[in-house]
Amino acid sequence: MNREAMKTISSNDLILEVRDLTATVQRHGSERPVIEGVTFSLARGRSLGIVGESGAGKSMLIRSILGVHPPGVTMRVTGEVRLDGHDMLRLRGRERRRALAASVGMIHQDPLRSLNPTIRVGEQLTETLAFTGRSTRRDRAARGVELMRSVGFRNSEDESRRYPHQLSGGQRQRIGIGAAALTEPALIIGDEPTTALDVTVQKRVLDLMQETRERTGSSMLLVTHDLGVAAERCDEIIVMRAGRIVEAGITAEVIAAPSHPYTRALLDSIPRLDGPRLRRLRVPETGALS
Amino acid sequence: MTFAWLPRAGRSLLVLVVIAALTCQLAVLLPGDPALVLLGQESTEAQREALRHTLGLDQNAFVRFVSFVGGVVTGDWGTSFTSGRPVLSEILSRVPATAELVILSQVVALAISIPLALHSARAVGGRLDRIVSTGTFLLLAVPSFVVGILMIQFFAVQLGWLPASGYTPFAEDPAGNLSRMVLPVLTLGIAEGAVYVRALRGSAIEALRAPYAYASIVRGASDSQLLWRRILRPSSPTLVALVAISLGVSLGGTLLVESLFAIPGLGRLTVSALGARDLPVIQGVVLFAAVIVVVFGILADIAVSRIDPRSTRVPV
Amino acid sequence: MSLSDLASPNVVPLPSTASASSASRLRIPRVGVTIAVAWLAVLAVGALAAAAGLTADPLANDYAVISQAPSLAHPFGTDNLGRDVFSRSLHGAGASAIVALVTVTVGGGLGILLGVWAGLRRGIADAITGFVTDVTIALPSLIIVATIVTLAGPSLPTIALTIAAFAIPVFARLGRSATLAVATENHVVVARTLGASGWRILTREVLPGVLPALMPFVLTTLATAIVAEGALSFLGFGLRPPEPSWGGLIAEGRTQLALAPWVTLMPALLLCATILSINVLGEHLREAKR
Repeated sequence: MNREAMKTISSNDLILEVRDLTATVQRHGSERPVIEGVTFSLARGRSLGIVGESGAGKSMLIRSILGVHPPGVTMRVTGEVRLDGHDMLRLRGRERRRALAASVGMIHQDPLRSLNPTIRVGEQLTETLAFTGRSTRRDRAARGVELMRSVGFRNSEDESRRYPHQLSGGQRQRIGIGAAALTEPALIIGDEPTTALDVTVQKRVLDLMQETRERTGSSMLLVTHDLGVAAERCDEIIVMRAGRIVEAGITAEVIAAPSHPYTRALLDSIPRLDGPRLRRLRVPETGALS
Repeated sequence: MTFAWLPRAGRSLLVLVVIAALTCQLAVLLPGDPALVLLGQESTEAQREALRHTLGLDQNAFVRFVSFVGGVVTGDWGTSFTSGRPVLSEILSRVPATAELVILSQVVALAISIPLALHSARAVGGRLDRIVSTGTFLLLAVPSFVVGILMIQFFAVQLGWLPASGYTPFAEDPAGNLSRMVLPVLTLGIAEGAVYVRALRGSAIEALRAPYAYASIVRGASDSQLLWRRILRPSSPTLVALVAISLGVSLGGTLLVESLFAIPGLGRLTVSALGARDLPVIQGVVLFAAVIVVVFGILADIAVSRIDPRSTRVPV
Repeated sequence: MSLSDLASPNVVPLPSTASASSASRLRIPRVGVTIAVAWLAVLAVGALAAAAGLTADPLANDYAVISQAPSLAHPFGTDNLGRDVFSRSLHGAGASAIVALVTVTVGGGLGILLGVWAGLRRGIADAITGFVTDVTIALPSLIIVATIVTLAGPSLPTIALTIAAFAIPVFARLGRSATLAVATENHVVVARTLGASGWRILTREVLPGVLPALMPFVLTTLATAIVAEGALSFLGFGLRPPEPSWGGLIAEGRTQLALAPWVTLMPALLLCATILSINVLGEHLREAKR
């Protein structure tokens, strides 16, 4: 299929368009919805924060968009996902893998566990090239060294030959960012990229993501439970709860005037110097909590 | 790092020494006078006296142990009662047949089990997975000697496709050697393969649940790239340990298969030595087997430390 | 693992993958569990009836009915000496049951005690148990058992106790790790802090946690011991020939396979069905534990 043609058909400048996305998990014969009727879009070069507490369906939303289901789980996904011109819910096999490799770079939550313990980091950084294209080992090694340098490894020649356990948490996440930038993808997804990191490292990692994004011109989808992080780093925000979007809008507007009580509760839970101490997250029950 | 396994080697040596100590006391197990039991009622007192001397029964346990270990180290493993040949050469002459059987059956077991385990782990709960899980579960309930009998009955007796028993050295008659090896190799290989499938499937499922598998899929890995290039390696330490164990304990397994298929290997040597109460040969086999187990144990540790770079320090 | 090669490679106890979740396990249907229990019960009753002399004399030759196919009078047929295979198989079941039960009670009991001791005392106790385990793993157990039984004279107690001896280190190792897991649980720590006596901690706090944890392995050991006894008598080192045992019956029948296959196949079937039933129960227990 002609990619350029596809792109012009799809709405001009939208990198990601999700329409009425619903995902159900089938288990023991019964179906449980995990994502219900989610609709949003992300324009080229913009960044979108997806915020919600754990279990709100943020990670499931990403999995549904990418079509990568958790192992052993049967999922049924309906609706429409258009990612960089690809009709993700209908693409199959090699074309889908190519689309993923070319258009998506992903940074995962746990920098250690998202790196294969038995493979040298330089090789993992460039594995997309090994999986989807014709490239020589030597080319990939050179590319890996170069990419590692771009994410701040000074001695990348040596460091690319290390194994993940030989790096620090921050270094590992920088490997993750480097890997995400490899194909200069249209969309970089960060799935709680800083949750597992020390507070001191968090900012540096987020800065590096921003830098990388600016260099590659990618859009960003930042999944986080931390409304503060999203507010600081994203142009737009959607707030999720129990598999649904409860609030969406331009960051500044959402923060200034949250329309949903849940968003207000999330906002209140951000610790402030001037705020009252020790307040619990108080949320009016809306029922369908999973 | 390269010599990290050395303390482990020291410990293994100690294990071997203890086993040697136990082995050379085996004769004491015999009820009453060992010489009388071994030689029978018709023997003369002089014969019995001579036997007690060869077995070292006229000396105390420690002296017996020291001279036994001394002999083992210098290559004098004693003399077979039945054949009159040195035990060590008796054992070594039986190694090729057993080694062929064991190696071929491992190759078969791994060739069958690795793809099955990986692909059923990828689609855990799917049709292939259910068939594989149920199949291996049923296979585990059939002891290898029953498998062997069924093989002989079906493929050799009823269908007449393959010879039921016997052994020709590969160098003499390659085709004859291989055709005679098919059934015993399958008998051992299937039993081991079933164990391997279950072990590897379990660790592959865990590896596939790890975020790095997710990461590789998003980076465009196909199923086979994911399984063979990203999942097999981190999931194989358990498998390697199992292979080492079954290579090590191969004697136990081959005992049955070799007697069933009349293969003149170590297993058959052991069975006939036991039947004839050929004590020096039995002692030799026990010690030889212990050395094999220990050596393969160390090799497995080294292999695992190569496979999984996190375990550079071999557990001591 | 030391017991495993006794039983030929196919009963190697799998390293317990504690983290393997329920999805990765074979789900045993309830009806399977019922059948397994029923089979073992029927077999036990049959073995007891045979031991009480309610079935045909297993050693009586009847030259009028040589190598007869299964019939009402001889449900499993007769062998080439006119002996009743049904009765012989049931007597064999008795021998197997004795070996299995002795292995579990004596071998398992001593092993668990050793393991709990090592787990609670650590230090030197740990070292001793560890070393004994190392030694037994390196011993070719089938050969050792065959040697001891041959040299000391094949009798049921000798066979059972020798096989049981090889179960000790495996139980010790498992008992040790189960104890370590239990000993750090809160109630044990609390009991210790409250100054409970060692004996009380052992019987009230530790054993109630350790024993259920080892139950699945107890079942595995029953199966392993039965196969081990079978292997031993199959090789001719078990009970002396006219005495019926499963392995011996299967071996005897080999020469008659063409003429009277039931002589081998019926006891083999009983053996496999019994092992399968025990494995089913073991799997069921493992499943029920999560």
